[in-house]
Amino acid sequence: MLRRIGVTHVVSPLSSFFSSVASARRLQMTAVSASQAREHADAPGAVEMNFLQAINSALDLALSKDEKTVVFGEDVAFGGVFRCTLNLSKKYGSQRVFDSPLSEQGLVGFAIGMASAGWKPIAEVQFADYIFPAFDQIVNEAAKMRFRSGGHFHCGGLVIRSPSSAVGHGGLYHSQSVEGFFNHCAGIKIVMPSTPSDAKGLLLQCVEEEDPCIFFEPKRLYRSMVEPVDPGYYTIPLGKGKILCEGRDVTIVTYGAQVGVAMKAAERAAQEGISVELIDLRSLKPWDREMVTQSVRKTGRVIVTHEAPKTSGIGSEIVSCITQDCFLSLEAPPMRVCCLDTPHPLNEQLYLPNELKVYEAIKFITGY
Amino acid sequence: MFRKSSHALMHSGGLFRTPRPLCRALQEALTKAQSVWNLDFGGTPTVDELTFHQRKYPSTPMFHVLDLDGRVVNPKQEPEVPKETLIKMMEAMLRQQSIDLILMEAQRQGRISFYMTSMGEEASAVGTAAALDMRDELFLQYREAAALTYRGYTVKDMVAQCMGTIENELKGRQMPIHYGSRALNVHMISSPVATQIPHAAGTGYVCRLENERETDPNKKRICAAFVGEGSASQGDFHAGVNMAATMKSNTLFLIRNNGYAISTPSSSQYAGDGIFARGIGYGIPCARVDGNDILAVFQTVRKARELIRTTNQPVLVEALVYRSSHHSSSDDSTWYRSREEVEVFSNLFLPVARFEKYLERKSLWTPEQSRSLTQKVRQETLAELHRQEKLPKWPVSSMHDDVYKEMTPEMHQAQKELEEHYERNKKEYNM
Repeated sequence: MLRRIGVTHVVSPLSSFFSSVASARRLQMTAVSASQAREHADAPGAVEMNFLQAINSALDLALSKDEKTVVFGEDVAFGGVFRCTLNLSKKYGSQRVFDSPLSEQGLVGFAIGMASAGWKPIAEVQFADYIFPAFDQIVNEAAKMRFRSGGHFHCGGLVIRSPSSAVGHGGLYHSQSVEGFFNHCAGIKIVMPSTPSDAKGLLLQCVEEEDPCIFFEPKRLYRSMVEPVDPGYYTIPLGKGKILCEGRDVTIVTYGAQVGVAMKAAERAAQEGISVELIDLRSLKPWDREMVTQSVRKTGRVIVTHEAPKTSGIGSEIVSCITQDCFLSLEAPPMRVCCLDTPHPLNEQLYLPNELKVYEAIKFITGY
Repeated sequence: MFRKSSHALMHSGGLFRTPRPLCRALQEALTKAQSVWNLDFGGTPTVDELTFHQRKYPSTPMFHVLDLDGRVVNPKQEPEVPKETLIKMMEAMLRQQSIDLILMEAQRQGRISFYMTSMGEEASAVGTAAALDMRDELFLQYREAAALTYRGYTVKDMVAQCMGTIENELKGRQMPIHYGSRALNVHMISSPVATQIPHAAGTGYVCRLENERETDPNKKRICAAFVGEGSASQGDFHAGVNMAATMKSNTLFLIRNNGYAISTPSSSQYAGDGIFARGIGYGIPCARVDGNDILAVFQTVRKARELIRTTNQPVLVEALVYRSSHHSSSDDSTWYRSREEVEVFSNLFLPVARFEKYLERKSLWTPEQSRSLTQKVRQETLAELHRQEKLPKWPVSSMHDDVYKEMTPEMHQAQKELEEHYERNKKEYNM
């Protein structure tokens, strides 16, 4: 019941928060050079899609491409609580698009069993906050299956997709960014896109991967972020970041919904003559260490920002690698702008690494 | 059956009351609504007398075929089993017993790091394996090596895994007794208990979908998961069996109830009618069988497989056995149960001897064959130990393999650094 309430609340189209995010999107389009922004949006017949529609398109194409692909999870059959699976059950049948009982360890374990038999299950965990009941199945089983069997068994066809991150009023259990917990686990891959086009291409790549993948979807972007998306089938390789705008004074490394926040901060800094290079990692494990290294060697300064809490967040790993790779280039200590080291409160205005905090970090590090 | 017994227990001598005509509207309304709850009251959705239901005593009896002397108790229930299968079952149990004896001693001598035997539980594993098809996918817990032996896993394979030598195709990454074989359709064992149960539900779902498309009946297959009664306390047990039920997976859940989870007796593990009763709660067919009676296990599993295939439901079978050995080479069971208990129950049940008497009575086996096979397998196991002790382990260059299908650039770099480190310090690593 609590989840149901959360769901209803979360998808309110009247939320003013969405307006500010849409505004962030417009800024992003302004700042990014045309060729980079429209990586898959310039295709002939590109269609306006929001984030959830891009996900739906990816799932539709995956299901049509391979009859051993299935999509399932809690409430998936009717279209899903964020409508990402709308119409798929009607189109592909209830054996391939179906509801599971309400058990995350069950549905992930079930998916591992399907993948170990050669199928491609795309399992949905309704909110990233509820992936922890499946943590043992993911960490002890999915991630280690190929290794422990010397390559003779694997569940490479497994994809787990899950709504993630803040949404304005999700409180403790509808707002979490949990990628840091899994980053410490060899054997799985982790993706968190920030745009509809990237979401579609990266999700289809996850389906094609022969390693288990966790695909996090920043849920506040589901309806608010719209762009032209190639309606056809395409993939974007894992492990490749994306430079959203080039700059010479400071590098910002981020991913997910935080990309929009960083873009607004960069725009504000630009008005004061500070030139920011903004990198969207998109793929977190593996991540594009080379792109980040080259950028920081050029700018000499780096801010890593993500919504997950600061201590032991992915930013720690990135900063440690930057220090090792770019030691002689660094003109200021690498900085991290993240959520506080507290659980996610209902009132998150001062909790989130918002535009003001990122802007202040830019000012601080360029003035070091 | 469960409800009838329950009813009889609570209302012995009483008559079920006929609903009053006044309640017809209520009965009809609830009957119409019952599908909302996925229930079927059979026309009588309510009672006007409050009853709390409990089933504890008497426990559901177990099916058996042979008595302790290997005699068939009810000729009508004697399963028709091909002679070759009977002999193969006997050989598999004796082979496993012999291997266990040698490898447990090897652990005591420090030649392998860890071991777990199947003592006393050979019949439940072999009877199950014999009743299944070779293409059926098996998910083991860890005390079912005899099922692998039945399928053709060799002494060489077992020793290679227990020693982690270069001949272990699994690359020596897991503790001893964590066997697996893609060729034999036996999934790799892992230590976290019960995790294989939802896997078996998912694989069983794949079996169901593929069976529905398969036109050749001989190519249809099921999935089977072996579970200890302690593992059944894990959340994954609930998740896996429940999901197999709702998804109509072609899965057999074979519960080895041997009375102990390491030191924890079943009185601390559950209070219901064993694990059997839980399957009833998930709405699937269940059976309880004498796990020391290989013919009873065989017949039950064979019927279970037919039921799974013909009704698209998972089936749960609880085999009652006794763990004659310590839990593992790291356990001394005299700390929590008396030697007398172990001696009495071990000698009382003797699953291998029981079946041997049956075969002898049918002139299919002789004591000399047991002695001969036992001696041969012990010598074979010892010879393999000696031979493989001289073999190298997997090379340092393999340490980063198989984490992913392909190595990432960072893993390539880490592997290179490790090999360079090893080359610089080779003498200090005793490899």
